[in-house]
Amino acid sequence: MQLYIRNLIALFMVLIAAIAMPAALKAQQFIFVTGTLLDQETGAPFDIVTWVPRVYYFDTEAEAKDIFEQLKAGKNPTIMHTILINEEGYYEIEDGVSELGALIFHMDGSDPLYQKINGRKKIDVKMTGGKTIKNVTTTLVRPGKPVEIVPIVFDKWLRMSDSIPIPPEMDRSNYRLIFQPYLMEYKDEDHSDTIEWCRPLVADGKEYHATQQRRMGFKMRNDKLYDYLSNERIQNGVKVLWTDSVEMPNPKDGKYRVYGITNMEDYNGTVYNDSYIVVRGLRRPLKHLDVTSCIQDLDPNAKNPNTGKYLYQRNPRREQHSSDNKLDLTFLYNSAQLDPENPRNETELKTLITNLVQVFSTKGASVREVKFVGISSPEGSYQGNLALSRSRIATVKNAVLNRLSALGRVNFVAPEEAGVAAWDSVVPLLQQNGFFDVAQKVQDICSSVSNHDARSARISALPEYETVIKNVFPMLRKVTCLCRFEIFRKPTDAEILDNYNNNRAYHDGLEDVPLYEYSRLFILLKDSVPYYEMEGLYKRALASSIKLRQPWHLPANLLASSYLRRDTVDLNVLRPFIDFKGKINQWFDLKNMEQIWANQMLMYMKAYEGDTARVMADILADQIGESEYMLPIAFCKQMNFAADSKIFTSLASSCPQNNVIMNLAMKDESYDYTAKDVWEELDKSKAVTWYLRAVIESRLDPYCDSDDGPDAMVKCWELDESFREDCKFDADISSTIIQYAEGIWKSNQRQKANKAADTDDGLEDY
Amino acid sequence: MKRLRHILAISLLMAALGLLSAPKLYAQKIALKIDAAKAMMWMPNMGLEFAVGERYSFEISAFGTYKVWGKDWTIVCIQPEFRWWLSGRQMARAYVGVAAIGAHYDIDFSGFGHKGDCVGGGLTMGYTWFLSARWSVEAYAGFGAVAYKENRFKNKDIYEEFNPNKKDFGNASGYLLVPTKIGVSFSYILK
Repeated sequence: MQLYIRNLIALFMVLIAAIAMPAALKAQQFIFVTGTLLDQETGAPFDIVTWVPRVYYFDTEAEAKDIFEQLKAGKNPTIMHTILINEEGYYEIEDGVSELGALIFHMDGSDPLYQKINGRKKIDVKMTGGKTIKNVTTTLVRPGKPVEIVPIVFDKWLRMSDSIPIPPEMDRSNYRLIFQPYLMEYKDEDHSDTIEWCRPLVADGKEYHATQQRRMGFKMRNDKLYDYLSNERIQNGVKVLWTDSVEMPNPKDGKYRVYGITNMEDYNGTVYNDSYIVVRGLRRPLKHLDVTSCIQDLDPNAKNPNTGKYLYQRNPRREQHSSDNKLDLTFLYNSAQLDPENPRNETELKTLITNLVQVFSTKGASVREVKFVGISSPEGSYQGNLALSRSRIATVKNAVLNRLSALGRVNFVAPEEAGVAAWDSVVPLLQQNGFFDVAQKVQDICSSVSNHDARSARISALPEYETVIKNVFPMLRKVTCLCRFEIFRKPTDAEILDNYNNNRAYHDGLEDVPLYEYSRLFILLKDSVPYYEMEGLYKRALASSIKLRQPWHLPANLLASSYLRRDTVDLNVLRPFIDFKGKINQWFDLKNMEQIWANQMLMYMKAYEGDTARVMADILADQIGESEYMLPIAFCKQMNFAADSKIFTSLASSCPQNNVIMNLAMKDESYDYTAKDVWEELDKSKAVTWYLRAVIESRLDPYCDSDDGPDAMVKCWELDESFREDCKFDADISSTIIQYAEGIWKSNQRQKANKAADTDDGLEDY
Repeated sequence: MKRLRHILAISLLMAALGLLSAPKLYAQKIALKIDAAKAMMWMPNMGLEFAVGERYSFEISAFGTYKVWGKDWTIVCIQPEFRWWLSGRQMARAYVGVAAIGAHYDIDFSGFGHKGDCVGGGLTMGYTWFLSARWSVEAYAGFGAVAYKENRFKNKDIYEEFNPNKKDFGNASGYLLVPTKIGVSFSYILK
């Protein structure tokens, strides 16, 4: 009986517990926990390949404590809920965990770390990597790895400085540490090549060093690794320092990473060997700095205020010409006398005389021949008309020669040529005027009769002779004065432009073009032809001037300015005009013109030849003064901008994009927020704008609490997909943002592909 | 004595062969060694160790004593030894070796006079601590078998009275298992 009652009470208690327990659990909240796990010593995330950092989460502390004790004892308990920590050191428990539960942070070969949740939604912890010596039974589990660094690139040199900590298990007096880094260049994530072995680091333990000296006969230079030997002796707690500078073949756009092989050896050989990443990406803070406002242009129209002469244009070359002066004269009927009542006759003669006198009076002009040509209309007899034509020519010639004689200008030949227009030439004139039937009649007469006089008789008998045919006779009558001479004068802008547009050889540079005409073309064609056409002109002008052994600043500087605006580099354009040993000046016919110097500085900077650019900037500032060329000097001395507020201000104020970049380059949170405010002024249609936004979000929200960073990255890629591969090697963008952005990008691409497929199938409307 | 000369000759031959067969190093290492323990006991001693390979070396040492500590003892001993260095580098850390011993002695012990020669060999082991690039200190010990032939007579007897012509030598012979080497040496690498 008693047994029966005891059993009943036990059953009752079990039932109570079964009912109460879920209720008790339900009272707990399940929360979404995130946080970071970082290295206690360096503050950086752990390498996920080497350490495999992870977090175990438990809904009850009891379960967590049990597992914790097992882990501490070196056992491998079965754990249901595990989250791997990513390479940024970030984790998030998406499934949710009880707010009364606990977390255990654990890494391979390290002691676990226990953390109660206590309702916290963000738990950041720091741990030390590596076991203590007491717990290690194997000889060597994990050597010290170099700290991952992010070099900042301003020129073609990749400057690296790193330290390799020596943990306890590597504290052996008879060990030698060899650290061999190497530089890899990537086409993309899947294609890479080792392009250079960097300077290795060798560090010995005390005993190793002493015995090595003995082996080398007490001349350590006999050791092949002597040049790389560090003065530090490896022992626990010491950080062996390594520095190196490597020249990058493509400093502007190249994708580089640096890895390092760590090798520990004793007297018998290698005891440990592994490879680590040293540089995951580069930081090029001023890559997108807009240099346009720094460019120094030369105005082709600029004149010397004292002399009024053009400063940069070349003088015109004089050329040979001939002129064809057509005279519109009227004569009395059937006479060689000029019609005195027509004032135009006098005007025409005066004009001819003036033109001829101009030719004669032009310096260097040489008149060869002045020829008078007269053609009379066809009506009447041929001989009669011919004689009339001759006498009319003679009249004009005498009138002209007499006047020229009075001016003392008769030393030239003046032949005459007289003629009569053929009746055939009437036909096209009639057709032009629309009298096709009349023209046909005249054509028929000319075809049937060959004699001029006969033709005259028959045509004059036509009914339309008086009303139609006679009206075209004045067009056939002409008196022309042909003047063949050599006169050297500069071509007009119209002539130059006409030549350029219509003469293929002139246009394409297949014939010599005078340098003066190039100067005019620079002005005439500016803004009306594409940039590549202008650059072609600049190049040809420069080449011509060099061929004439008169190197010309104007096209060189115009070409360099165009290149700088297009972010293109060519150091050879302005190189002939730079003399490092000479003084900088403002005279165009000497070397080292100020503007040329400033532009070449910018070119060196764009070519990532930072050392030369900075030297030139110093020389310019020293000789001319900083205020004159503040912007180019500031751009070229960008490594010092953080310390020089003038440089920072001048660059930041040049344009909004530069303002954002300069604030980001300060690497300070307050400046990052300023950059974010200024960003709103940028042109949102440019990919670089969204790239800068992604950089800002990388600073302010690296773990993507909001979607601004990934969204900005995706927008950048949509505008310019070349940024997508570049970003993976860009240390300015956090890998979390890139990861999320990749996911969004791929999802968008799939949607587009599906939509296109639906359209092809005709399913779009459904 | 004759046997001692034989042992010396053989030792020098071994040393020469070792040196000639040694791989070329930047310098042929030669270390001069003094056993501190023996020196403190007024037993002059000296050794030379030659590196004959990356992990091999050859040592030849000798010590002697003459009427020291008030005792009428005379001992001359030569000990060549060939070492194999476990650490991988000669004259550093632990080694094992084979050593020979040859000695001529004239000592009084346990009421008897012992005058004779012994030869033997055995295994040795030791450990070297480096003090600097040139200085080291090593501790070593060896055990082996020694064969002897001696004249044994009571202390108060005069042996020559029993053997005036000195024709017969050695009224006692045999072998013993004894420590062949023990000591603490300071070593200075000459080159």
